[in-house]
Amino acid sequence: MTRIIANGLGVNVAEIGAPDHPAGPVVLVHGLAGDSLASWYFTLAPRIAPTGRRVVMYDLRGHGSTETPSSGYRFDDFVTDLAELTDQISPDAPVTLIGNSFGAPISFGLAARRPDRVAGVAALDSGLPTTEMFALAGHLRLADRKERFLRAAESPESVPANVARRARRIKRLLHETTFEADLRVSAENPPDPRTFTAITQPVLCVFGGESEARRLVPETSRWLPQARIVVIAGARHSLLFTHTDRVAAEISTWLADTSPSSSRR
Amino acid sequence: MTVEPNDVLIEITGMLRETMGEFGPAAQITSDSTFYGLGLESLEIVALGGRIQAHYGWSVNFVQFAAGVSVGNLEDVTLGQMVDFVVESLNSPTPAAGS
Repeated sequence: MTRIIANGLGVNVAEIGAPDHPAGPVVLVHGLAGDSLASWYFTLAPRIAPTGRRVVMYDLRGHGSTETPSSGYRFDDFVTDLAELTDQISPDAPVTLIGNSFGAPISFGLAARRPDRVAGVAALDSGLPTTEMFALAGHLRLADRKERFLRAAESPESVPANVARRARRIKRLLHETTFEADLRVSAENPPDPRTFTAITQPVLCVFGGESEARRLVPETSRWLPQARIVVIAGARHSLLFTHTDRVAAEISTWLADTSPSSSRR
Repeated sequence: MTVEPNDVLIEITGMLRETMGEFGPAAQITSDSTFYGLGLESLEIVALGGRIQAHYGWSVNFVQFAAGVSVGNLEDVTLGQMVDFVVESLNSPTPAAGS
């Protein structure tokens, strides 16, 4: 893993696969609170590396081994981090973004802001940065995780050592930074949906058949008519971990279909 | 030259302690120890993989090891499994492909 300075922040980055593939890198964006690039490293990353693409993962601000500033956790801050990171790792070729959970709206945020820099977006059980998505993110992930991790941080002896350490870090993010307050402000002021019309690149959205995030399907189809939408029966929000091979197969097919170097005539 | 599992276990144990730093486990580390039981977080297993890769070179393909486990199974992965993977890779007559 290496450290890259982006948006004034030391960002932890890991990379596998072929560094000089002409199609530009695939950048994987993880979810919020307790998540890290490791979620990709032991699931999708090694499964798409054999396609020959360069695969780059990073830890979001306040997560994993990336710095945890005391403030600066609005939605746009996460998008700017990704913009500056991709400018550095691939200054010429546009990147393909794959976002899990909250990583998806961050990815769409960059695709809308800098369409020329993004070749395509795949979203796992999530969608555009809309009011509905922010409501789901708060409901699905933060509320549940917050309670669970704060409980673990209170009584570290009751949980495995690795969980206790992660819990302490999340407690710090929640109690010693403006993370929650900033995200609340972003949820109350989501981007203007008209900006989504700038996203004309190929889009893949994979939803869990049993996930509440399926609620996002209608607005996804409305704003992104080009989106290929796949629903995995029986899967919940954690489909990256429970249905890893199926997710990897869908992503690999989509990458092959949309890769500029392998376009079929 | 054949690599001995016990030598690799000692080397990886050293790398593990370096990875964890001040959070290093007080308990004895054996090949039956699970990474989670030792208090390693998943991101530190990635970091340990980086150290292993740097130490042994590309004949040990840690990405291949990562593909063999998943986040859901990480809690059951033992140090011995990683040692076995390294030993098999190093003793294999045809080295695994590079990154």
